[in-house]
Amino acid sequence: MIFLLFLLLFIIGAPIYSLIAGMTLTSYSEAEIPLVVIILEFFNMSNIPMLLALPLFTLTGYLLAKSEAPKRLIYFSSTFFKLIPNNLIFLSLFLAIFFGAITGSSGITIIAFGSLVYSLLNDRFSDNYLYGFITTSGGLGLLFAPSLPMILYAIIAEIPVYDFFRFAIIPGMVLIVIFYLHSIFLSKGSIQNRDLNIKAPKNNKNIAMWLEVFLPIAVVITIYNGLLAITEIAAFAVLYIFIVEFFISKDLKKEDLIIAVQESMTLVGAIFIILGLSLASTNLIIDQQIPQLIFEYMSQVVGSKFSFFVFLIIFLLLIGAILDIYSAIIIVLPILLPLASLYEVNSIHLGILFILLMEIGFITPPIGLNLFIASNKFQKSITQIYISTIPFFAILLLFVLLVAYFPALFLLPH
Amino acid sequence: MKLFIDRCTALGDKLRKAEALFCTFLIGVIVIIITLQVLSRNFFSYSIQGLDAIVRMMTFYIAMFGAILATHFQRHISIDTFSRFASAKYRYFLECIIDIWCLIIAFSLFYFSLELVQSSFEFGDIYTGEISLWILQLIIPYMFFNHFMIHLMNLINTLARKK
Repeated sequence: MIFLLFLLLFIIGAPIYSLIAGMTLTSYSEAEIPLVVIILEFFNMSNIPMLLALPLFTLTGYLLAKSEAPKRLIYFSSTFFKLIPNNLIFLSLFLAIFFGAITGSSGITIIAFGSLVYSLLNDRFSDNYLYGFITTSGGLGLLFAPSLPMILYAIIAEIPVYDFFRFAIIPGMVLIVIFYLHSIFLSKGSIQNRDLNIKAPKNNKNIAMWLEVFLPIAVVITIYNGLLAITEIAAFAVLYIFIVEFFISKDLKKEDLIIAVQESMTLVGAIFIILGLSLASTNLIIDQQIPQLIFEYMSQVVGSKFSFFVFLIIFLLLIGAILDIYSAIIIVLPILLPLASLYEVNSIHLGILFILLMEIGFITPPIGLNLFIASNKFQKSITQIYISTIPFFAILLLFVLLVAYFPALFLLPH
Repeated sequence: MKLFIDRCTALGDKLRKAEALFCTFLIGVIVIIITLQVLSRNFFSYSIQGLDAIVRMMTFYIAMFGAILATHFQRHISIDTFSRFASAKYRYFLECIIDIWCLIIAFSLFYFSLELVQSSFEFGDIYTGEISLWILQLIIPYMFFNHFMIHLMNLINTLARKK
């Protein structure tokens, strides 16, 4: 009965934090544990050291998005990629990955670059293909540093974030190459070395443009050589972009900073309240030995690592279709991790599959977020956007199967 | 009644602006602390003890203010597929149900967070250095109380809109 009530509230759009809180309060009452423990566990969130990286990287992304950086980035890539074969496709993928990785949101990429990518490529592809390409490619950046979902995964799974980023490089790059080749194969006629006639933005400052492009490179280098802790890198990223946008390009003013803080902290607050309340529910789940109970049940149905992956993919596809990536990581991962370890799937392998499946979740009906953003952006029906993403859905799913069953092809040796 | 709602809404707006400013200040302080920490570690081989704990607590405060902002701007993560397709009449009912549900949850969490603060006060728990833990924990009931008030205002506004 209570489960039905929560299900109903979930369907009608009650905030996820309120549902987790409701379920945790009910479960603690039934287990006769003092309810104040929930708040104590919630407060324990303040002991997680890596947590600071999330608000700081989110703010960096918002500051970049609020400035003229997207325009400068387009100008930069149009100049820089002139000699690369099929440069238009390359440029589109580069923009999507750059902003996807920095902001941790594929939706922002669709909003910021959707129209530009459409106008650049619309005479070379069918409309349907382009809608699918733009809706899907926004998620590709999530496998690259400093992707926020990857940092959150590393926090929950308690794995070194550096290792996670390093192991995700090859699957990320392979996926880009697949998208690149797929687009070339399906384009109408040649798109070799087409001149990109993009003008420099007004009052363009080259130094600011180069400094902005250098940011992800600096972040990636610092992350991969382990010189600084992830929170320190995030703090330097904020400081760096603050200096570039306020003192060098002078795009932003004091009010913009407060608005960017307000908007980014709104997102961070929405994630952290779920995280805090989930800490309480996760502890109860572990206390009640629920993962063991699930494993005992599953071992009757899922007998091997092979069938575990089948279960994992179907399960995460369903989760990805109904939950956003942050909630999915916070809620589902504590249950999945012990199960995965029992089937000898390591946390990094699981993490890459998790992020990939959530990328698919962004374009999975009925509530894949990117579908709604693209539908709104291009003023097309949801059904048309659904249909346009089907080939990309198939590519991503095929890729997930390869990563699941042939990890040696994609993951660096330990 | 209308005057009361207007005053509460105006007060809420002012509080949100102050909280956004405070978040900006906290982020600035965090960035400065971390920069100093990295510089002193690398150039003087010296780390200031206890700063990490302070930074973690400041992050927690940012998260709490962020959660209030998310409630104020109705930006909490939720699945709104059904309400997106619902007609205006049904949407009105759904909004009321969600606000009532959130009111109950926010009040429960507010109550239990006060209990936590009270027990920390009674036990005299101390955070890093000599800061009493209960003072730092006050942010939790403050956050849930704000949730409660925002949902209450939303509910009253929704009901008033119907009239």
